[in-house]
Amino acid sequence: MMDFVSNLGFGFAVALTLKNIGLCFIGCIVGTLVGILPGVGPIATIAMLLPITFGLDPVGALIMLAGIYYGAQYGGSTTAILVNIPGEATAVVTTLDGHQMAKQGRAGVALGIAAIGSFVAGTFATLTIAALAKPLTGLALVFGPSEYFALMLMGLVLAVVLAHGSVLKAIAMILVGILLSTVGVDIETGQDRMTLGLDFLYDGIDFAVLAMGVFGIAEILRNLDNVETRDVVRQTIGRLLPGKEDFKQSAMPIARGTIIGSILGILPGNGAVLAPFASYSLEKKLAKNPSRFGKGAIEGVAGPESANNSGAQTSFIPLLTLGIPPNAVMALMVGAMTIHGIVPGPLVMTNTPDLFWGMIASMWVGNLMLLIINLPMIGMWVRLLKVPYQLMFPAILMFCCIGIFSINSEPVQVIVIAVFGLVGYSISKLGFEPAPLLLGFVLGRLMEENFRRALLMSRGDMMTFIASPISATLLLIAVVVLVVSFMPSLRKSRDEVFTE
Amino acid sequence: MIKRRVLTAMLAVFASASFLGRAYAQSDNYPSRPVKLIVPYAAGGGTDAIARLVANGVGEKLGQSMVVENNGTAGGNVASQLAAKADPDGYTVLMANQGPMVVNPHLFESMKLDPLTAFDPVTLIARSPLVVVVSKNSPYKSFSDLMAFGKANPGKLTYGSAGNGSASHLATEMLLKMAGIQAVHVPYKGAGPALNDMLGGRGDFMITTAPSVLGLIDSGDMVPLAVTTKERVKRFNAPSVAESGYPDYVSAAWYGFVVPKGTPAAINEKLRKATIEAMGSKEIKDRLEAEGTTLVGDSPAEFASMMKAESERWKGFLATAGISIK
Amino acid sequence: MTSQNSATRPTGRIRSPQNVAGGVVLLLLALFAIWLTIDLPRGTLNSVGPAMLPQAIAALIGICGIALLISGLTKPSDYEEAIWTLRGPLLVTCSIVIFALTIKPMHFGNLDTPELGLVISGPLAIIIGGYASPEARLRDLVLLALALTPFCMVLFGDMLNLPIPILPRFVGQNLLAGISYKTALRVTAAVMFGIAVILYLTTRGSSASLQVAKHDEVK
Repeated sequence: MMDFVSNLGFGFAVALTLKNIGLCFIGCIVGTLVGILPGVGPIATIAMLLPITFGLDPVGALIMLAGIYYGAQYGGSTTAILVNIPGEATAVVTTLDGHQMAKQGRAGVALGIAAIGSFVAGTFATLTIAALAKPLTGLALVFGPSEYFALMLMGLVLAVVLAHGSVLKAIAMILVGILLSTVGVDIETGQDRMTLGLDFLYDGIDFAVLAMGVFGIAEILRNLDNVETRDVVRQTIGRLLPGKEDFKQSAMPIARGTIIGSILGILPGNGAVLAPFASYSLEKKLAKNPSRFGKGAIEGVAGPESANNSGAQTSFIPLLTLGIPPNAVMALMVGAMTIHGIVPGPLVMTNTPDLFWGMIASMWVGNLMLLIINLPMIGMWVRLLKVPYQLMFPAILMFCCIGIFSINSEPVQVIVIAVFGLVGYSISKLGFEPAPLLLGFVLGRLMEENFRRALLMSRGDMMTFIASPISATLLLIAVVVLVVSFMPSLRKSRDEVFTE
Repeated sequence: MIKRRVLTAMLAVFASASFLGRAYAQSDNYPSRPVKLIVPYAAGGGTDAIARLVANGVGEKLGQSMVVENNGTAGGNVASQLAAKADPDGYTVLMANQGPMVVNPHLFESMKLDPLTAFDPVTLIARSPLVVVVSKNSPYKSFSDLMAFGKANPGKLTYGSAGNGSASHLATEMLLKMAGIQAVHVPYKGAGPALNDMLGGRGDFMITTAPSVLGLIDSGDMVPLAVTTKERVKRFNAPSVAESGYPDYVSAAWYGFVVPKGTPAAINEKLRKATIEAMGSKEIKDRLEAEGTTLVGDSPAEFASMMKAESERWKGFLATAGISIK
Repeated sequence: MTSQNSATRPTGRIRSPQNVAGGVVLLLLALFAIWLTIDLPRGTLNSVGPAMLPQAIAALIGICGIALLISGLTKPSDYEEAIWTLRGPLLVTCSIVIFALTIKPMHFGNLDTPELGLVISGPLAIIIGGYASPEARLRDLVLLALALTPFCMVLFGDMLNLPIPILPRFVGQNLLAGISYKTALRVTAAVMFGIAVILYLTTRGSSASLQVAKHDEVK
């Protein structure tokens, strides 16, 4: 305990120098501003901004990069809420209720609760990292392919809960998402699968391209058809910050989301990606009236946003304690550390304690700064919604094009967002929802990889999935959730038959 | 009417920009705009880190920024195709390395490009060893332990790799073939997640690039059993594979610059000088050597013959081993 | 579950055209995926091949499709009929494709697209895309294009050093030795923004379209 306090104290001494506060501030603000551009997610933002840290000392550079990371993540949520475009997988859930709230004139409340929830989650996660980083590393090592497979399967089952329309259609969309995730060269045998002979499909469909298409472009197309709904967005502004009632509704979701996110973030196999919608599913299950979800329920923003942020923070644990990047953003951080001559790994803590503890302390400073920067900016973002839509959407269109182009400097990828835009538009006309599709896409890929890896390692023995208590438990949960989620729909359709 | 006005407005912008230009780009004023460095891997990897580090230094020496453009599609093939098609004016440089230059033409059935004829070499920048590693709890305390177990128990060993066709995969396959060992390959996406499973004891060993595993070796969590370069590397307390009974075995990662075929020799030379000067800076030297990397900086001819030899070697190996990507 | 028969309310044969169409689309997708992977080894459960998951998923999608089809034939759905339009999808797609075709050279066989850079692609995307809305006005769109493009040029090309072509290729190749690319970029951005300001000031009163723009003199 004494160690914990003195270490944190040491960290704050590093993080709170004028220079490092300044760098953290610049990082947060630049990250937010770039991250808010539709089509430019955290990965693209960090990759773009990496060079501006070259001239700094390693501690300063990493503090700034971490700031950019939180900033970009927060900026991404803002875009998800305001214009219904998720910058990365974890923001998909935020679009569901966040954008609905914006449509009801409660954009400010949604943004506010997202900022506050993120701050609470960030504080908790920072303390977790400081206190438990080392012992938690063990948990990361316990998770192997069979455990990840079980986790992802459970996630897919939870994804059914996300939909607010027909369960059948939601399942169909999840399956289509999984199918899309199998496009590309087979990871094991190197055979080309469903690439139609196109080079850019070799490594599979890029998440950003798919999300920008089925969410961003499709949303524009839908809005163009629908003059009334989008005018609601710009006519009513409502209150700017969450009120007492909002806080009361959000307190528990924030707490639960924080814990879920902190746990899943530790897993180096990109567990953080599950956090927001595990939280969403949980809130929907716990709610007295689940039908409010998808129609602007504040719990549907507060919980997932907190889970997202705490997961984003604790995903630094595998990086800092093992040197293993759990996701693409952390891989960029590894690159950044390497450029600054630091070898990421277990020795960072002992060899460069100022960097280790300074970075942890700066995480909290960064979260505080985001809150301070963002609360006053909410008014500005909300006012952005007053820009006439016929001017707003061409701007979004251009930002999407630039953002997608910048991923790989590939014009073809830009054309693909148009294709996915048309797909997204058509499926929504047929009554399908894009969110389960995206989640199926993200989890499906991880699921297949780990399934096959587990079987390779067990030399084809299916028992490997039940042999480990963790994967057995997760699979059991998946089965239970599946049965439970079918029950109401069975009951409901029976009721319908009876009432008719 | 309106259309014409818009058009004129656009033309005005055009004119104002093109008015600035007169002479065609020549070697004496090269470079007059940013130089693009195409990296055939996604941002954040080991190659990317080296590329960005060197690009920063070269940019300073050239007096124009060197902008890194990542494209990791199809094992780097898309990047090398793009670079090959770019104008040979010195403004497009490809970060050349093992995969796209000498392995992929024999690995990917669909590859149409011959990188050896499509590019003019500039210089080999660095050579970096791969390391054979096991977890600290592994029963194999030495490289010969591992090989002996593998020989006695065909199909029992499991190894991870950074991906199908990656340097890490091919280096292992080559070793297994030379030693006559059968082992199960578990491909990952990148070295990080693979190392995680080796660390957790789910796989037996892995051959990986030095930077990816350096932190874990320094902390003692992973143990280096051997390095894949001909000679030992000071950074690692381990013999080379070559001296451990496989004298023909060598498999190092290397990084260099190449430019599209037909780039004027004067521009090529200017770029080479700037690169070698940048490599000489303490900043770059220290960081790369700390990872066990050897800086080279040779002539285009030396680089070309080295790539030719490598290409032949991989061609033969891949054909006999029957590894391909369709 | 949704395929239960609600035998009452005897109207036309198809109760929910939307669900029928959805079911058909799913079925077609499943067949397409199976057709694409038909040549790949499926493997066994003990050694999974590349085609196993896609085909299993395709089969499940097919089942969903059939279920949806049956439910569409027998049960009315609660969705209101969708309105399909052409203008939005067509122009937005055009705008994105034109951006892609003009930003950087692409090779189709012997055909190469030009590299015009953001300075041309950006305004094209904004103006063509803008017309997807029935309320589009040329003046507003031109203003938006002339203001937003320089902003993006400076932000992405200058400040963030993103490898995105900014100026047309032939301009980049014909620059004076003394003037760097970045200076040219900044000058162009400033000129564009200047035109935007002048355009804004001179056409402030006119609401319908731009009538009095005197941009010809600006250079």
